[in-house]
Amino acid sequence: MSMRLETDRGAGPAAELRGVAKAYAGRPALAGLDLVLPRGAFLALLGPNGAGKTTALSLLLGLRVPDRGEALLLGGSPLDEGIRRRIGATPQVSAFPPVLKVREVVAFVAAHYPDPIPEPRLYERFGLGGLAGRQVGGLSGGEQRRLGAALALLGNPEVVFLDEPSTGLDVEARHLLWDTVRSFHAGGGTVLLTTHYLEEAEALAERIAVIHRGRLVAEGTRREITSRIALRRVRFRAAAVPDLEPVARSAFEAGVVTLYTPDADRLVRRLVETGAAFSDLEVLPAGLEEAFVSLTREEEEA
Amino acid sequence: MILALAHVRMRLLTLLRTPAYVAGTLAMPSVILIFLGIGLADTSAEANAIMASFTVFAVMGVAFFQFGVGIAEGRASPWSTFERILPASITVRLAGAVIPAALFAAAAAGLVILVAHVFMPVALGAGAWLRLGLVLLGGSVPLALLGIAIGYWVSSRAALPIANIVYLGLAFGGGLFLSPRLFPDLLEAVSQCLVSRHVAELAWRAVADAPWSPGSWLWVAGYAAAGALLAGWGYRRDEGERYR
Repeated sequence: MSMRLETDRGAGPAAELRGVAKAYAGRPALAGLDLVLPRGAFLALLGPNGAGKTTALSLLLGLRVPDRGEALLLGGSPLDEGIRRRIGATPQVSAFPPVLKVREVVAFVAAHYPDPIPEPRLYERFGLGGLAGRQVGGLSGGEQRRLGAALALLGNPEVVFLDEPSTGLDVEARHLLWDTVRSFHAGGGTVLLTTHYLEEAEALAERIAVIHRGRLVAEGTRREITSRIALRRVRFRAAAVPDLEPVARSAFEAGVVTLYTPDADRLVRRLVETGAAFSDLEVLPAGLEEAFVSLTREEEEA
Repeated sequence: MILALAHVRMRLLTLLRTPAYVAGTLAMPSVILIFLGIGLADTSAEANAIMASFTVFAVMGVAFFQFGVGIAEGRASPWSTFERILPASITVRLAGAVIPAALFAAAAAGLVILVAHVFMPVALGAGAWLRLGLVLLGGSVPLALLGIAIGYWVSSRAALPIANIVYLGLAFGGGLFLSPRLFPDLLEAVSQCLVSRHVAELAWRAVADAPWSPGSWLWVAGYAAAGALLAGWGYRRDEGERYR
């Protein structure tokens, strides 16, 4: 994990939600959410569908106004035009007007910013060379994603909001996109990534905030989030799932048992004690996905 | 200024490359005029009135399709959400919506005027043209606001059929296709309450060099107020519901 130098570009964090609540037709989407995105940070906002990620993002982008609490962007109001000129955001999946050409969409978005990245350089950086004259509706999913990321970054923003930027991309396109986002961050840019695509958060973000049911469930470095749960994955071949303690979650597929446990040593000892037949025993670290499932489950049980 | 131009350009490109929109708003009034209207005009006075009716019809089409259907579809489109994130003032956004609509309305009405001149004995003085222009400009306000109200109250799927029904209903009921002199009593009573009838009355009087009846302008203003209220209410209601 690389430490970043503090850059002094005005006071306060890049983005902040202070005790915000937002309900739609009486249904709460956010229930007192506090979230801080420090300048220069790379934070992933993680949560299942309906957790409030989209609402949190729309409050920060000035698309909605909180019922209660405060949303701050670069120390000011997200509704402020001058502040919005210093941020960038990706459009949602396949959002583009299909009849417009790539060049026309880029020119339209670029017209909003004082110092946009020149077109040829933008096309080169995002692998869009040769697509300028194509209609957006004819682009592949991967090409549209790259265009989306290009639109988010073309205004040379200080803060960029990426909403599930690599969902549906093939491996190569995903890595190209990730490299671009990483180099933006390495150049001092602040990034807020909203995703339920866990590999994405794990691969890119320095810090992770987990939200569930409109509240912050956990926030910390990627390592802190995973070690707080410290789940291990115990995998072996067996005829059936043995009844063992302590197990957070189990899976059985094609003769392979996978158990998620807070104490792998104890679990393996118990497994041996049962005398049941098993083979190919492995103990592996659990990824973010398991941590995430357990975190939200803890919250539900609380 | 340059930013407003970028918005206008983008909207125009999008609309021009949507054949259904171009055919529906630009060509349809002229086509219906050819099928329904031109055979009915024996005198200049009749020709002028029929042309006036169809210019109102042309402006109404833009109001209902561009504002009504356009807004309803925009509400369902993630691209318009993205556009709202871009730093642009309300003036720029308004210009981006109103200027293309005005251009389309002018083109659709212009096409009607061209067709009318080719097929009918139209004869209008400069004063009548000016007054007709004022009626279309003034009449477009309540029509556009009603279109916006439809856009915010109706789902993107229902918007096209509903806009079509309201559009054709108002056109027929307002006497744009068939002179209200031929209406039975009940239809005439309904017609007197429609915004399209009052815009048409103003347009007919303009091309006949007759004085306007202030009552018609009051109806137009009333519909504008009601449309603004409905549009504003629908907008607020939509803000709350557009949650995914």
